[in-house]
Amino acid sequence: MIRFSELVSALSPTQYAELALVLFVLVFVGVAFRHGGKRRATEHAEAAQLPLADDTGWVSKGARR
Amino acid sequence: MSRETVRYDDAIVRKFLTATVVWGAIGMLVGLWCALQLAVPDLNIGPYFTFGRLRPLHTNAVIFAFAGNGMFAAIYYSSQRLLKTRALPTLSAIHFWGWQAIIAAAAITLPLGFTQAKEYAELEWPIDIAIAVVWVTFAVNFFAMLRNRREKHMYVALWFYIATIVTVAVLHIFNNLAIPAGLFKSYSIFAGVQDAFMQWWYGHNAVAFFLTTPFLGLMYYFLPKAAERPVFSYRLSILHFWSLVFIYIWAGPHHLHYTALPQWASTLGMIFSVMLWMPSWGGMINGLLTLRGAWHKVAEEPVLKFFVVAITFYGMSTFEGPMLSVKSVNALSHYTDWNIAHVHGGALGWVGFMVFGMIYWLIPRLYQAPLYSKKLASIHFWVATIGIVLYVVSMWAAGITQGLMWRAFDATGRLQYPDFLDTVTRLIPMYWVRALGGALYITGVLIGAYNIYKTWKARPATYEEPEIEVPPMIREAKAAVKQERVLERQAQPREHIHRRWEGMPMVFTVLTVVAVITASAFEIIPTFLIGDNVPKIASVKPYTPLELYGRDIYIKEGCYNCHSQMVRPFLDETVRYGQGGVPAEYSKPGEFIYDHPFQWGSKRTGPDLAREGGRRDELWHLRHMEEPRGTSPGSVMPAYPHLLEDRIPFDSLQSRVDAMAMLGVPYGKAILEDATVSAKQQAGELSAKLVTQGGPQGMEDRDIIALIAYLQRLGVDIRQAKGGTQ
Ligand code: HEC
Repeated sequence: MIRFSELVSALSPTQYAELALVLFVLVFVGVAFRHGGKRRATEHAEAAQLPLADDTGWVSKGARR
Repeated sequence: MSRETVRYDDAIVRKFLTATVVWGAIGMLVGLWCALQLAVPDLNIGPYFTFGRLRPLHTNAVIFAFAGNGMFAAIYYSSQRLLKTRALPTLSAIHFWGWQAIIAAAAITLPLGFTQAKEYAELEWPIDIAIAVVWVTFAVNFFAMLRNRREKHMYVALWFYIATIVTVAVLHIFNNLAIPAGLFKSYSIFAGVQDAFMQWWYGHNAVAFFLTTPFLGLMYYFLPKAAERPVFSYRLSILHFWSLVFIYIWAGPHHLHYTALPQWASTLGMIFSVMLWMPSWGGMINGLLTLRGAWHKVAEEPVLKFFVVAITFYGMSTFEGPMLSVKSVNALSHYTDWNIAHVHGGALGWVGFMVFGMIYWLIPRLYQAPLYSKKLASIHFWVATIGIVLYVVSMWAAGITQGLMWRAFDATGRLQYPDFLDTVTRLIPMYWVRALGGALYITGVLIGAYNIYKTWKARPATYEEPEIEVPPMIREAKAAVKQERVLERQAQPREHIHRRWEGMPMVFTVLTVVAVITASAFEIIPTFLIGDNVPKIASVKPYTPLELYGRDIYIKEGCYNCHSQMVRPFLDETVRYGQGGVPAEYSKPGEFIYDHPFQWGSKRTGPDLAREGGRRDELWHLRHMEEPRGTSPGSVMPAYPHLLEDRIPFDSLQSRVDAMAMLGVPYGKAILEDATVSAKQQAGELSAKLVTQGGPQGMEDRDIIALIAYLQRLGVDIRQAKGGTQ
């Protein structure tokens, strides 16, 4: 059985760092890819309206003084 | 489809809002007191109200009580509305009262000196457990809202809340793992480098997930409402979210540049910190552009004024942070008051103004009465803004002055300011300006509190709780939704996957957790497991029982709030902290393997103490602790006369030693059987030495002896390794 610490030591710290960078780039590209494009635009526009659509409570503008 | 109705619970929001203002004012007043203590040391009222005990109270109160309660108010108000469902009242009540009880416990235990001595994680283990329980209650309440939601799409603010809830839980649990050695005393299970790493993984992500993500959620919800237009780019907010969640976790090691932390981890921390600049500024720009076409409102509306300045400070702080993470800048800035400037730009500017902007927007709605005075709100804004500027600018000046003075060499190659005191007294004028800035900010808060109070006075006898018509619960309409999906898919063959995730909070939460855990594991596991990260040094031995107790006094008094124990590998530091003309060794990872918890510190209001052993004689230390201004005129260190009175609890030493032994510290058989014998013997020898130096008799059972024993041990082992004389 290989020990966990040996397994971890198989990569040098620098390689961990590089792997991290690659991971991040993948996530970034993934998110950008999913959310790029015109097709998403209407959907995002709908979502963006959500906080504006819930004003249901007591509303008073202005102040007494 | 049948229509259903819901009533939002705004009472809980009102409660959290009141708590925010009350604790905010208290926490900041304690901060002002601390600021004044650094200019007027007599304001240290020992033993309970010295700087070392009050500063943790200030930081914990502002982070967990002010920002914490503010975030909960925001989350309960916005989540109920975004999800069109009511929070569970019992859980909300447990959450509210539990959290306030924890804060009260902190306010009592920290001045009493019950502390783990890890910054922003000072609270001792019983309170830590309470925090975990209350946090889980909050999480259950929040996820129940998600489960009972009547709106399919999860608005981006909710994502930020989810990230906050899960990450804070993970951070809190791992950083606080400790072995109790009594009801209010514990030792971190990690030691030295690993403890430092854990601590700043926690510390930095507390900034990220306690002080940033929830307030970004707040921004993405309340800013569009106040500006009456949707966020500039929803797409950008998504990118902002994922980039922050993914990158922030890696950045922690930038708190440990040039320390005994392995270099690769430090460099990794730096690179990811610089990368953070991008999403942060993306978020700032997104916030500011949301006001496009609404800038005329900013001039009239205090709410928007607060938001604009808050977002600007978000931009400034997230520019400054990555800059301070660059190693060459950090070499100058670290341990100086520049960090203090940085955190206050973030805390007073970003978090504080975000909270007050939200409060001014909320109170007419929550108290169902018009705001008492818009003019007072504007005055609050201006007074506080001037306060922040004075605060930040004075601390920039102090930090850079300090940093430059520490490293200055004269033409003959000697330190220009060899006496550390010179670098202390030079800062006093800037400490006064800082105190003035803080006082102005608090004045603003008190004006705000008055305005809120007057608004509240005009509230109706009973609050209207309108019934809102809502669509059915998403989960109950599952079948219908499924059907809809089929139709959707037919109409739009490539269904957008992210949209589906948003419809599935659990999946989304899991992804966030995966991002956080992966990043953490990538950093933490190699640090802990790669053996040669911490080369052993043969001469480094465990502390004797007496020294261990002395160290516990150091922890209890919060000396780490002013002193570091880390000589960085710079010429000016090895020279400054050397003895007898011989430069000191810079600090090595192997020196700290028995340090549960580590005490590297983060600020040098006083000099570094890693090489203190043998630098002064015992009597000097006694006189200095009794009244620092006696030995060091102009010092701002608190006096600790009680240490000469208080007796060493010899009967508690065994449990302390045993706890350390449980953590793997190799104490010999004799000490494990009876730690008291060794402690009494060492104390006797030291106090005899004191007498020969002309000091007082009868100190052999006083706390001061243990503290001196500890101070005289610092840095001695490593000198032996190098064949020194000690
Ligand atoms: C408010 C910040 C502050 C706190 C808290 C504080 N110190 Fe200091 N300390 C200083 C300053 C400033 C100096 C330098 C001037 C002097 O010698 O007093 C100093 C100097 C020292 C020195 C002398 C170092 C040398 O050889 O020149 C020792 C030892 C020391 N402190 C120990 C402690 C201990 C132990 C505690 C906790 C019980 C403590 N300090 C708490 C600010 C602080």
